[in-house]
Amino acid sequence: MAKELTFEQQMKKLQDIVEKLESGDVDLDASIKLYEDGLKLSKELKKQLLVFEDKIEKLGQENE
Amino acid sequence: MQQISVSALLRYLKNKLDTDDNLQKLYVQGEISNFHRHFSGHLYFTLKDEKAAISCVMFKSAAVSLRFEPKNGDKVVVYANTSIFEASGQLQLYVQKMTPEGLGDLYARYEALKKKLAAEGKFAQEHKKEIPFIYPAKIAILVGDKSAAMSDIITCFRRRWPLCKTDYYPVLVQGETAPSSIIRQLKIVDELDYDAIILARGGGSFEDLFCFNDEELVNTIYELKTFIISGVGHEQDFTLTDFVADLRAPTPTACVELLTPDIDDVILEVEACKGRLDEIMKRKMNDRSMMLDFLSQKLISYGNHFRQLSNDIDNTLNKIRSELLHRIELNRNDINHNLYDLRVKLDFRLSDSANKLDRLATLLKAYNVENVLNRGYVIVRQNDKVVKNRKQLQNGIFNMRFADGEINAQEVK
Repeated sequence: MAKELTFEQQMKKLQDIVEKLESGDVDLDASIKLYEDGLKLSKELKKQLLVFEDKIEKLGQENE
Repeated sequence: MQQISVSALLRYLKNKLDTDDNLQKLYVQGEISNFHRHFSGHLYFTLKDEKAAISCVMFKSAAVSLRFEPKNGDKVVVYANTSIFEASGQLQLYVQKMTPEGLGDLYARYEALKKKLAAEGKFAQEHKKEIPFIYPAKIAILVGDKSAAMSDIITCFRRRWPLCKTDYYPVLVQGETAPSSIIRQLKIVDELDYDAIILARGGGSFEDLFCFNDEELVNTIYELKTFIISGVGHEQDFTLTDFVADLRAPTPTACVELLTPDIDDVILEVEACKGRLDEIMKRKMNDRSMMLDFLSQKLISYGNHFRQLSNDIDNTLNKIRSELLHRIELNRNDINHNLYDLRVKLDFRLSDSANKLDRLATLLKAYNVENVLNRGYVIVRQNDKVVKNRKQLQNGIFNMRFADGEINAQEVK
């Protein structure tokens, strides 16, 4: 499911989670769930970014 | 005869020229000579034909928008005002625009079309779309096949935002058939659900870029559903395509820079989000645990209060109990005392009565014997034993007791 979201949508989701948590009117159980989701998302996003950075680096080296 | 100063004369002449409409906003054609670019950026040259010459100045402010590099021998058309430089009394053309000869009609067409399309509202800011994304996922790129613009764009995407899917659609970017080639491709990609379209071309002369001043092309771009950014030529080149596009970038590379975030920034942003998440959670947990501490502190103090109360109650109970015990003890002593008293009295009475009884019994016994004796009976005793019959009587003395005394006697044989 998460795979089908675009980077933009995932990023938006992450920001929404942060905002929701910051707004403070979330109870602790829900917060922990949100926190978990947020961590998962940020990990996933970072992974996507780093994969591409790696790829680019390799491409760069191949070209040298 | 009236005399005037040189300054006055020249000021008069200058004024005459400056206010003569026939001498302002002129298109003058000629050949460049004595071309000199001053370090300040102003251009000085002479414009001449076979029979005449006039000195020209083009100030830096106008010179920066030149679309070609003028040099001696170039046949050009200048758009200029005529005036006099008073310090040297020299008649000069103050050049605002300059184009190579032959381009004049192209410019005229450009200006006319620009005016017309602007009047139609094709360039209106209200019509332009906002950039619909921060992290584009899919972009269509219309560029010349294997052009420098194409490789610039590829490089820039790789460097800044490699996550984006980039589809390259080669189009003709020069010549009379270019507009129709671009229009056809635009109409196709507009249906393919791209985040944005890039229409780009590297630098070139005004003529080279003229295909981007096509009316039908402008209209097609105006009707696009997809967000479009144009980056045609260099910083100073403006085509009608640039005016109608939702966003105009000065160069092809700038198109990518305007459309994409820098991947390093995004990585930092994701990390910052994670950091914020951690911080918020830490704060939340902290708040909760502080609240918990506060509440348990309260509970403890209530507990102390209750303990105090219960101690008080215990103390009171103990007091009551010991008071009761004390009273019971006192009462018991009283009772014991009374009992003892009673017993002593009873004992006394009992023994008293027994004594009396004894005495009475003795008396009674005594009275019985006396009575018998009084009636004449005698009690015979021998060896302190009562002799109850003859047989018991032995030889010897025996005692006879009468009522009024006794005697010792002996049987006479």
